[in-house]
Amino acid sequence: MKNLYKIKLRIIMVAGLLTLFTSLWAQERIVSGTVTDENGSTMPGVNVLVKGTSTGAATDVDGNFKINITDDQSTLVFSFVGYATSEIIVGSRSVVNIQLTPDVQTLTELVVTGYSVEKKADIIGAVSVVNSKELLQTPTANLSAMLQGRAAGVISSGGGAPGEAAKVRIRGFSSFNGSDPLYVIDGVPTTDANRVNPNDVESIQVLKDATSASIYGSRAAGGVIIVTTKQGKAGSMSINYNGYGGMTYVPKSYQPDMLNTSEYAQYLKLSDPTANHPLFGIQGDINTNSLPDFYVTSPSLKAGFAAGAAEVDPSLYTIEDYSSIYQITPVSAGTNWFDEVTRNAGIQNHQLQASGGSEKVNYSVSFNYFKQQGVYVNSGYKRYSVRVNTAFKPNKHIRIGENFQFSNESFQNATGGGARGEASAWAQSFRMVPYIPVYDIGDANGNLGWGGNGIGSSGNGTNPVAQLYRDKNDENLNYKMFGNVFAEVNPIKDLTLRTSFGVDMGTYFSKDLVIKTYERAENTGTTALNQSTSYNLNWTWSNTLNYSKTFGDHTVKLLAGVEAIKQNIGDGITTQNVNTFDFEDPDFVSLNTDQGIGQNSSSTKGQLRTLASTFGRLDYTFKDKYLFNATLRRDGSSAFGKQHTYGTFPAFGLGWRISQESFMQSISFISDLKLRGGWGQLGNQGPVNGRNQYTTFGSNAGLSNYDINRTQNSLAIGYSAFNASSQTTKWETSESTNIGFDASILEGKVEVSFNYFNIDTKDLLVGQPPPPLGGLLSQPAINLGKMRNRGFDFNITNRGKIIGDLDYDVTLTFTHFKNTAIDLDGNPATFFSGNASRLNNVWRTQAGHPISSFYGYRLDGFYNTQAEVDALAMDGAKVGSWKFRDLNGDNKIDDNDKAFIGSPQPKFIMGINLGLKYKAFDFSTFLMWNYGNDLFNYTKYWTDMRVFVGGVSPRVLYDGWTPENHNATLPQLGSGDSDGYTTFIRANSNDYYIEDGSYLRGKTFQIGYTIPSDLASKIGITRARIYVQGQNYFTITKYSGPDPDISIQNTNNSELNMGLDNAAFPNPRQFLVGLNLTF
Amino acid sequence: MMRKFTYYLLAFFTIFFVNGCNEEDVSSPPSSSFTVDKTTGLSGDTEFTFVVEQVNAKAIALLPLGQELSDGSVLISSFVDGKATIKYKYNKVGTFNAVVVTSNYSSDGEEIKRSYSTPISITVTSDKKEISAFTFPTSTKTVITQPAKTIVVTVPFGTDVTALKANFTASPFTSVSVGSTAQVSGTTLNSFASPVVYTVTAEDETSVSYTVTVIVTAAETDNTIKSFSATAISKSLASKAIGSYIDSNLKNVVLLIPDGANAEVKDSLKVSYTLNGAFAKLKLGGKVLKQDTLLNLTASKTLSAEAQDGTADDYDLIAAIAPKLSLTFAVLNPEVSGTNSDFNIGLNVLTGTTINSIVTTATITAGSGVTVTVMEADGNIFVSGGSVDYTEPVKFTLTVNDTNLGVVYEVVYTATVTVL
Repeated sequence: MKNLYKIKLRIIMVAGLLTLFTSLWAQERIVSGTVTDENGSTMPGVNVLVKGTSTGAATDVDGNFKINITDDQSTLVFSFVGYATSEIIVGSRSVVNIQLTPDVQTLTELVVTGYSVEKKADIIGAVSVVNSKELLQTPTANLSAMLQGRAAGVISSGGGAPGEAAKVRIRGFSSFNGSDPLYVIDGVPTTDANRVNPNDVESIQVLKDATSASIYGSRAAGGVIIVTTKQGKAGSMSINYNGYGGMTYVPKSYQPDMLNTSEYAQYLKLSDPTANHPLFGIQGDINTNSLPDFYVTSPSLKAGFAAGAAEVDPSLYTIEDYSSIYQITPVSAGTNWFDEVTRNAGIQNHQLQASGGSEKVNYSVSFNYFKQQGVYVNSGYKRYSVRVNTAFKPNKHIRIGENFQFSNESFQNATGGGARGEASAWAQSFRMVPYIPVYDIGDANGNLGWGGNGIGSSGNGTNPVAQLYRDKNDENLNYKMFGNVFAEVNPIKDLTLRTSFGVDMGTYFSKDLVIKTYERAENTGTTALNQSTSYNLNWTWSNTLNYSKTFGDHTVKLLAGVEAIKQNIGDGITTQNVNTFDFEDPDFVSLNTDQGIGQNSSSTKGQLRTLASTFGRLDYTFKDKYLFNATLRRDGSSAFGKQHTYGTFPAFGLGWRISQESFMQSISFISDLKLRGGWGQLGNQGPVNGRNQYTTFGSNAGLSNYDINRTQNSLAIGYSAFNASSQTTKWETSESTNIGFDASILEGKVEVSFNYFNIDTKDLLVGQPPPPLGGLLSQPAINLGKMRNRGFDFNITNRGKIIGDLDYDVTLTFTHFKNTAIDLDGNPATFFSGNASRLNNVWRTQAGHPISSFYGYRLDGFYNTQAEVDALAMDGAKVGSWKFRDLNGDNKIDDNDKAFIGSPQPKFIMGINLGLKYKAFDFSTFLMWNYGNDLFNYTKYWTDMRVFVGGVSPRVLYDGWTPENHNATLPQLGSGDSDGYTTFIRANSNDYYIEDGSYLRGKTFQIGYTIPSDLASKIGITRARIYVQGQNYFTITKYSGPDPDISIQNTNNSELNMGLDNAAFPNPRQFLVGLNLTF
Repeated sequence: MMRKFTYYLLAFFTIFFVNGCNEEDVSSPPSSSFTVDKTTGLSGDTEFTFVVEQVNAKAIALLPLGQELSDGSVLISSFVDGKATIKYKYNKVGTFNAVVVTSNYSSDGEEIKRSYSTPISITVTSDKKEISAFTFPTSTKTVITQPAKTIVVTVPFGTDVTALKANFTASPFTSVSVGSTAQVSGTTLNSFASPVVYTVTAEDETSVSYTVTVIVTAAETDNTIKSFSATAISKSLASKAIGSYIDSNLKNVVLLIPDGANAEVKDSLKVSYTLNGAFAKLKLGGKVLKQDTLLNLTASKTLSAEAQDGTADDYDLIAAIAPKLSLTFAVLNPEVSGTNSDFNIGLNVLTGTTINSIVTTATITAGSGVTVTVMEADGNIFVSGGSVDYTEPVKFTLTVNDTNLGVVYEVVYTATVTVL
């Protein structure tokens, strides 16, 4: 029966493929064959058995076997230590070749959790394990950007700027002020994922619920990501090289459509027919669309001219003296600024690692070089890092070692190239009008000047190519050191004492040279040099005691520990020198080489915060079936006042390995099934400033000095409060409940892990609103309100063979959560509002709705007739303008008609990783499906709303309301009474900006070829694999902006302001070639 | 196996949609009812009191003008004992079907349902008949005396009062006429050589008359120049603003070019000016001198300033290179010399220096034929070597006799001492 069942399953597994079974009559004969391993090497000593008989054989040194069978229905069973047992029906064959696959028994895998290591089978909490091999398929410098879609319950979104971190959230949002997960790298906590070179990562575990994470107490509310780096293994010595190189670019399809010059002239003609446009109005005629060939920009002359006119004689050209330029610029037929600012940029990564060890010592030393050019010209990122992990074991009872990484990273032009917002290169590309070219005609020696909008009436954008060029020497330079030293002693059997001292330090330097301009509408008149430097030094000292003992059916594990953490964000210095550089050569410009005036410097005061903690955990297992776990952590923080210095965070969990019960043994297809549940509390103090409980005072000449002695000629120095304090502020607390199961089906071929969760966060930390007469006093954080995140996540892994040598594995991760603000301050009408840079009240966070919901008016067609204008009052309403929806029926549009028009939070996120392997070839692809969120396409404010003069979308010209066409997208394009773009429409958030942000993206595909080992060994290589890879190779989305992957990204650095596309740096497409070598 | 996978997927999606479905159902609200204390009244005057019944709806609004017109609609936010009282004055005339609308809508604004109460018909009339504003395009003053029903309008010298179009504002719903001619504001021509009677007829057909008298002001006599300045175009002084000295007795305007400038800057100066008389004109060669005219002042030019009444004075417009004043505090150790920037002199002294009396050495640099006859510091005669109080910036006024140009003028330097 069992056999039959397996056969059925096999048939299902190869659905779509035809498998033939032929039954022949009984006949005793000899069958021979060869057994090979997963790499195609022959395997000696494999046991071969005819199923149901005692007939058996073993393979010889070349992997060959011979065996007698009685009939064609005979089944051969192949088994070997460390490999999955395999059965094959012989059929009519006389030769049976088989490839064995390594036994994957994930439930016996070891998982690193808080301060200890556990068998996966014993884990009760919600823990996701991320496969580091899959992780590294994302070619980026920052670990946080690799996590997207890789673990159930983890939500991540990031831009494509080189070295940029992604925003990572675990199971929704646990705080109003950012709930970054805590990264614990080799036992040392940090909130910066970029403290580790991803190539050094051995494994990643994500602790998602209280049962698993509350051992980290007050910093675990955002979840904990445990990172373990690669260690050497005893008895081996190998050198690995892993590298790739390739190209990244922004596909044409990401660019928004813009009007070209002749269309722009038509647009001007319609929108402002009487205007004396400086370009078209003098030599060109706006009404006949005859465009000038050149335009001249000088203090006394700004106009367009035909070629050959006296005014465009090249000998007049000069930009030598910026105050009296005479610039002659050819009128462009339509500059595609997006093409001009982007490029095909290179990316390369080289990782060299030596590792190995003996019984007494193991080591792993690696060097990494990563370089990525930005897809914006003159920007990029570079990192060198070195890691040394060693452990010494002089005897069985003592281990001493260290894990350290030192890295140096530099960003070129991070502010110009990587910045979001209206000053970024992407935004300038749609803010520039099309008739301006990148360069003017230049001087007699062929030195080109920058094209710009100094002509006037062409907006206040800046030539982004010029901006990127001028900023090419701006850099951010960081040196970081991260790691720990540790010692472990076993004073008695089963007891381990461990002490670990970890350091997280860095120094940060930035240089920004602001160079004078001449070509803009709004020029920078002075040259300035800004330099700043700062540092941080954090240390963590943990001392733990682990005791583990099995008494008969009872297994007990105890953990107790103390930990001290000091976070020192050091003082920083910012200096600026404005105005007086005679030269702009970066080798010349320094703070000391100016004319001696315009220098100022200031310091940013550092912040100190300490944490003292005690914690303990008990794990109890009975008969390997019933699991119990309890955790308690007590944290004391220097950020809170005396009443709330300490916070206690308990958690417990229960597990039942139901598959171990006798009544489950008959269900043979379930190899392992564990039901589990847990409850606990987690804390957060992240948003609290280290000075929160103290009022600070200072002296400031402008604010606190006063002529109190009435001398009328001198000021007495005074002191005033700088920031107010709060003694009552306390920990933000998340109460987390998790119920789930882990199942392993068909001997590990299918693994499922499912979790349902409910997380209620109370006492949310927010900045206290300043009192109306509070002046400039900055306010402390206080506690307010309650929020809920509820949902489920699961992952399914399925692996096996499709047919013959074709292996596959599929992993699916799925995350669904629903976030709701339950209460803010007791009054259901209270809300937090958020503004985009030019558009107010775009977001609203209010009880009963997801945080960071989009808020505004709903479009309700157009005012088609004067009668419709009379019937519904709206500020500035006229025929041909948009009509907003009158929700309450009072025949007028006002604040009462605004509604929650969308939410940036996705309904679900799904990641699918598919791997195929055929002999020496392997293929893998990773797909991301983000469903059900809205995005606020803020680009439309600039390109469609005609607020600022600049680039214009074709929708404005071709899809506007006209008396004939009422079925339009935008209001009437016209002037005066026929201009449908009213101030009210332009100034208010509405659902024209809201778009569906769902997308399905091919994140990665990789095709690899492993050189046969016998060939490789001839040239002294143990293993060699080459691969080609594509990144972001397709995206299916309705979103009209460049990149929908901005769902949970913040604006204004606030968790309550998510999902606004503020000229985000699009995730570029990448193609790579890579090489893995092992010696 | 993939098919098996599909089953798992379907199962989980079912759970997901059960969990994820939260579409709101919007039901039709019940209709409300209302009463009103009267059904006739005067526009802008009679106060109507509406009492609206509360019902269970997300929004309740009173539309006093009916569904078709939006003015005056009131969204009712608070009810007392299930009723809300709204006081309302109509600003239109006519018959209106006042109605109460109740609305229910989803929080995302996607769906709306509405119900309307039984309307009540209200008739509004008007007896207002007042002229509240009366002007002509060029008039400078209007006095309206309502009790006496007189309007006096002042127009400038030279206005032809026999053909004027009046802009007036009368009460809403009225008609205005002169004799039997209907009047349209800004359109109808009348002669105001003698007083004109305007008749205003209200919506209720009562009427009233206003007498309009027009007064013409006398001609202006002021022909003096208030200020004169220039902008240099030439490269060495490009875009530099140049001030002037106006001598109203000798009728000279002297543009003061800072010392050190090349004399050729005189050949391209863009000039601008203001006059004291509102109707005065400044002419060059018989034509009005436009603002921002580019002039070559290598040789002086003659301007004619003409008042409204025709009286004129000729001014000589001269560009002069002003002598340079240099200041030194030789008594201080180390010695401090001023830094000149046009007509400003900056001097930096060390902390602790007493600046209310510093012995100041003044040096004049001037071209040949140019002499400084008198020097004053803040209005007091100053001789080099004298003491000056620098607690506030000090104005040094130099009286200059330029024999080359044949002109005497004053130039002012401002000296500012900064204690480092």
